[in-house]
Amino acid sequence: MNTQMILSQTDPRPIYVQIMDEISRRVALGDWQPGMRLPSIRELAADLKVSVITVKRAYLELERSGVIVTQQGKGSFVNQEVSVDDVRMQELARYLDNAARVAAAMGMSHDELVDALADYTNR
Amino acid sequence: MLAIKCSNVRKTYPHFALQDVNLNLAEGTVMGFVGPNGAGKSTTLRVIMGLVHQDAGSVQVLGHSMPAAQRAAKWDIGFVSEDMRLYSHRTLGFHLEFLEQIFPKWDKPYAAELLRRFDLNPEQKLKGLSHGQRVKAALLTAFARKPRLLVFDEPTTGLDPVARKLVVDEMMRVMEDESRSILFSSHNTLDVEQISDSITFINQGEIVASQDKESFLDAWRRVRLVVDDTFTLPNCNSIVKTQRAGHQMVLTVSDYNEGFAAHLTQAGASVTDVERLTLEEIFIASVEASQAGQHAIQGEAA
Amino acid sequence: MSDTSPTIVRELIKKDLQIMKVPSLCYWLGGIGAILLAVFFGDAAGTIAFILFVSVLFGAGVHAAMQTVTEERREQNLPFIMSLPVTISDYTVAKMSANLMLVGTIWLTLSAASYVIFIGDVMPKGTIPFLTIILVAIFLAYVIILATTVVFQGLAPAIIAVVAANLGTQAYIWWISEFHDVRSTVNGMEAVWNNTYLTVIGLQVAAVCALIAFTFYSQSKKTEFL
Repeated sequence: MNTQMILSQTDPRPIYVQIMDEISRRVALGDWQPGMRLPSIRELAADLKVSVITVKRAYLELERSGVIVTQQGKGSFVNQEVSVDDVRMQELARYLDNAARVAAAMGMSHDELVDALADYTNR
Repeated sequence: MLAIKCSNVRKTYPHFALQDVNLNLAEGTVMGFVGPNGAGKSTTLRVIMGLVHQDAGSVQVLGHSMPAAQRAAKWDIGFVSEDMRLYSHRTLGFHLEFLEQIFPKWDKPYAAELLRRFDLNPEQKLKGLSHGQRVKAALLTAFARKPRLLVFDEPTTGLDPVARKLVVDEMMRVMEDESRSILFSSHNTLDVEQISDSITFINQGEIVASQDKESFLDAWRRVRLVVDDTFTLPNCNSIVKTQRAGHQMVLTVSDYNEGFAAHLTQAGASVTDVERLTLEEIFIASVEASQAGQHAIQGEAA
Repeated sequence: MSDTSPTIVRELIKKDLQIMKVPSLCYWLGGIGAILLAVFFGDAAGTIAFILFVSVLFGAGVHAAMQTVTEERREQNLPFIMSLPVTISDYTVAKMSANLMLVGTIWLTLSAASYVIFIGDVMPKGTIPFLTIILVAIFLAYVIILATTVVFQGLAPAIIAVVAANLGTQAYIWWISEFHDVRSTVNGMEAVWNNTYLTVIGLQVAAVCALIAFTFYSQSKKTEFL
């Protein structure tokens, strides 16, 4: 099994988050259709050369956020009811969350942050 | 089902002692065994292999009691240690034939495939091989036994990045079969972090942590704070290291949870960043902390 | 050794025999050469032939023990062997068997062949019992070296054993040769197996057996094996 997933060593995020993002992105782009069967945890671990527990954690978190569903003994599938928009929003949410935290630490107000963001979208 | 179970294992030498080593390796998982030089990694692995008899405590490997039942256990273990050499005046092929005679499960096509993948020539005598080729040859002799348990003592030491990747890839290929398990020690924290399901950390003959990798890495954080002049740090066991420069403060924390940041905020600091640590950073921080006689790692076997 | 593993022990023995095949053949041919030298040029080269013969017997034993035991440890092959499904006692059985088989065969065939020098009247037949003592003493010296290498493993004890066994055997043979029962019969025309000869040979054989038993015993007491 070769999923062509490439993980980055310079990415500061933990590997399980990278795997989650990669899968979410594939779902968001429509490359992995709702109902599609995912590689088993062991298959993906062997393919990516990362530990089973890391892939397991990524699958668990994806399940929690509703991107995939796992059926006992059958495997994991892209959620039939997955809203591609939601998945996209979730991806965006991570960046926004980061921005909000940094802004707060710098003492920026809500309006200042919104203005700063507007500057970027208008560029 | 446990592939390895060590309970309160003790072994005393004049200048070194393994103290109450407890270590559990679940079947179908990879355990990375880390610790500074002289911490007791090799001794522990030798006890597990039955090559050194413990003074006290019990060792079960694949359901066999060690060292008494080491013969039965070793049919299903592939062991390679850093100090192991094949016969230098013999060819690699000589060794492969020798092992084929011994192990009924010896997988000849797989051995041939590994020769190709590891780029080794069976006609060549061992003395003509480079260090990397010798290590790969020794590992090949373990892999092709198709054992249920692989025990590697520093399998990637001295290998170039390409050879290291070959070895790590092969270890992960083994893990496609959920009845097989791997215990390996390494100074290469990147390898350990990448492929281990659990991490066991040993220092000065004592296991300081042994738990699943995700929780182990998750428990550690570097917290960056901006503080005012009057700020005093609340007393807390989980702070392993404190650095301060002007109004900035950096804490290394071994038992992090969400409440910790809130606690600091209440004390008057503003938390600017909470970062994860690599295994290497955790390794160094905890060894430094234990050398400084501080309270190091809280996490016990989960 | 009730709990040995026959297949692997057999493979381990085979491996050692294979490694020692060529050198052993060389020693054996050297021994035959020494005997031929004594038979054909006994008058002129008798001493040289004897020294060559003894050196070959001694050398074959030292080489086998050092190569299969000491060298294997020095070259760090031991962890590889001990990664196999074997115990310390399997290892000991394999090492002792391979060595005793190999050196025993060389010793036995060359010893037997050496008696050809007594055909005809070249050598006084009264020397036969004394030669037998020398031959068994050389084998005893070899077993001392083998036991030391197996039990102590290191290079230094092996070298000490070789030197001590060599010098010790010479002194011992000289001592025996001074016995009255030996001096009075050794140059006779007939082989006389008096009680002194039989007792000395009996004690030497007993010492060989005791050393082999001691080796197995002390190996079984080891708690550390690398």
